[in-house]
Amino acid sequence: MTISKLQLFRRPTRDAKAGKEGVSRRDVLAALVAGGALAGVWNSAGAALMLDKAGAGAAANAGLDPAAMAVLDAAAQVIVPTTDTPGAREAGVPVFIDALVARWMTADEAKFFRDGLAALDLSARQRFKQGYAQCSPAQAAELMQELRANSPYGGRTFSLTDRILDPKSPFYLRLRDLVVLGYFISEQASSTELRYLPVPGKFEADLPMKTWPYQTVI
Amino acid sequence: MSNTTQFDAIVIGSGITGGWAAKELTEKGLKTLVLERGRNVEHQKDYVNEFTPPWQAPNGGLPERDLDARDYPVQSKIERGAFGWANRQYWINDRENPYEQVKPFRWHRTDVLGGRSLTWGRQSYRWCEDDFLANARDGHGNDWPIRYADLAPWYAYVEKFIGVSGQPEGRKDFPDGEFLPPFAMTPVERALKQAIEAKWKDRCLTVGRVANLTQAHNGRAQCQSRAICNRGCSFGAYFSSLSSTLPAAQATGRLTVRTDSVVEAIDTDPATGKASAVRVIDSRTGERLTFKAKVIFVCASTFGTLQILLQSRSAAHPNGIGNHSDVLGRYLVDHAGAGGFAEIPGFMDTNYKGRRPTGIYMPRFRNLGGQDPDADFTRGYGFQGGAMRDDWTNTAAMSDDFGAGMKRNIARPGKWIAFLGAFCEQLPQAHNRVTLNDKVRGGFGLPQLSIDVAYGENERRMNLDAGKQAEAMLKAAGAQRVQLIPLRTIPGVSIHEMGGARMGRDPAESVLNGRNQVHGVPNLFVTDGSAMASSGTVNPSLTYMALTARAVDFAVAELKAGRL
Repeated sequence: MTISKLQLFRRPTRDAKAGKEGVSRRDVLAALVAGGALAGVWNSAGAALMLDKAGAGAAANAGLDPAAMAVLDAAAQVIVPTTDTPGAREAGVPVFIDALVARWMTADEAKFFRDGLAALDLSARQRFKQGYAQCSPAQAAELMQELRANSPYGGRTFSLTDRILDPKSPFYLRLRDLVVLGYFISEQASSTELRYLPVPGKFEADLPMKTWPYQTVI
Repeated sequence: MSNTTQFDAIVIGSGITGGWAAKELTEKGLKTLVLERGRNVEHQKDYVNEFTPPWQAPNGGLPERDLDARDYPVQSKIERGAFGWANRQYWINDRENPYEQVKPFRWHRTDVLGGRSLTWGRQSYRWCEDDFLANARDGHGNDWPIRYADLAPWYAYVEKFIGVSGQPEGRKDFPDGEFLPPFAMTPVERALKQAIEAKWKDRCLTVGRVANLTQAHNGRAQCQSRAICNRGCSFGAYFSSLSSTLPAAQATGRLTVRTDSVVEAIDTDPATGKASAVRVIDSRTGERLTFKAKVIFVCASTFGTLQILLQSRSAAHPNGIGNHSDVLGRYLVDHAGAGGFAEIPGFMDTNYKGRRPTGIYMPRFRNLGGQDPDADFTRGYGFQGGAMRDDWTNTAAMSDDFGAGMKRNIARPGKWIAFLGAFCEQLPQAHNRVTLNDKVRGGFGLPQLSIDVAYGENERRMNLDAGKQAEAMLKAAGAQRVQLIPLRTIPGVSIHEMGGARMGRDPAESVLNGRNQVHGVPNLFVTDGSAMASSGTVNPSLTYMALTARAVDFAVAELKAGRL
């Protein structure tokens, strides 16, 4: 499942499909409690039907235009590149952030974010005579590094959410933090970089990193 | 249901104590009505976000700032992530249910069947002998009318039903209970325990005693170690009214539950002096109803109960029922606190799997059995905390880099972080009180509750001491640098508000007797946090449950003997 606007802004309601297929949450739970084929059940496409679904809400702001989306897409891939695991692009992070701009940010925040993307694009045109989205990975990284170096931040927080909520966070950090958030909550990262275990079953307090080098997410 | 329906018993509130009252009353044969002000929530079916994965969290899990500012300005400030997209629907709408803060007070409350038993922290500790003796010894607060021995069998009774996991420690000042097997401690917690107990012979560090089942128990499944309990748990693996006490009451065939029922007042019969009826406003229709019963249990949460008792004014009780002494609403207490956290170097080759729904506990070690010479405060505190590896949300916020290296670093389990946070006992004082403001009407046209509670100099000193002790202990375990943080400087933050209808021996100094019976109103019982005459240092819910079961046992015996 890839992150899309539709999935991001659903309000919880009951899923009619699950009932029609004759499998209820209670049935799934019964199977889980009985310990039957836990991983298999949960990773199957059928399990997705058990999760609550809801309709998308209306946007408050305009989202990003195609030009801004192109810059965001390139920047996201610089911040979380594809390695042996998916990168921000495959994880749908640009779509996630576009939806935040449209549905979650205040008008001022949306403008600040759009202006930041435009300034990043302008820096590429001034130095490399082409838009940020057309830059080579090395050029894009160079501009990103420069943006980072010119973005002092005096705040001190203990959680990513707190920093995202800090109005004093400069554009670089806002961009970087939203990409990191979008990436690490994505289904792709949750199943490759992290381990999504909705029902771990038990707490194992002391495992060698060699056998379990993961963070458990739920 | 007609508005003159007669029940044997009425229970106001369906949370941790209301559920227990309902279970005990129905199991002892009484036809019982439970009144809940919030909406209905059905176990399993209505835990709507229980299985929502991170990638389907609305807004990536970021707060809905406009909504929260408008409707949840108090609830959204609840700490430790206990309020958010996954469970906002359980908390009360602050805009529709205002209260007055004479001094800052965070009143965290739910508005659903099951109450805060759905969202609580589940830490379950017995009080010790000293907790019941403290008031009489140092003169702060009135003498408790009961002692540990009175409650010990009821603690056991409650523990056996709800299921509490924990490690017996064999300490008089930290009584063991009827435990299911404990959760395991992480390697760094074990190292912390070793370092602290080696340096300070009187200190004990153990795994948190928690109402999560480490094995199947009473028809409920074992904890699946997801640690997202406050979304609701379809496995029934933690104790809530919805998973355990209300189903037990339902099974007797003698339970009636009425949700959306805001209690306005309790009426007394001028002829007999007894409580005769409960007046209710249906929150959906505005309809006013009256229900009658032979015995009434008020279990509406500390402030909810006080509001109802204060609103129950009559010729016989002009200042509220049970308030001839002017004690009702006074001597409110909570747990203050400070804490420290630190990186513990090493242990990087060990990790854990799953998420433990508890932390560690350190029972009180300050001023036990006498005043410590180096302590400039009265009473003490316990610590809760834990040692876990930093997760991606923290490591991401502590860096500003980008690229493949950042991606790898944040994904890997971070450094080991140890945390110790104190719960400090607040001294009972008459000026810490709630009253009704009749000039300002809140929800349903009822007077607004006005809360005037603050921490004092003793709590401030205790917080400072707790910070110093946390720092010393973390350093003993190898921490280089400890960051101290104020934790619970605004009352209400611990969600341990207690008192206001305190128990006591002398009717002139208390609202309830040693059986949680309102002085002078023999068929009216109050068994939630409002009954507490002091706060102790441990989390209070288990004590409320034991008090409730004990009070019902007494009430039903009295009823059957014709004395109520």
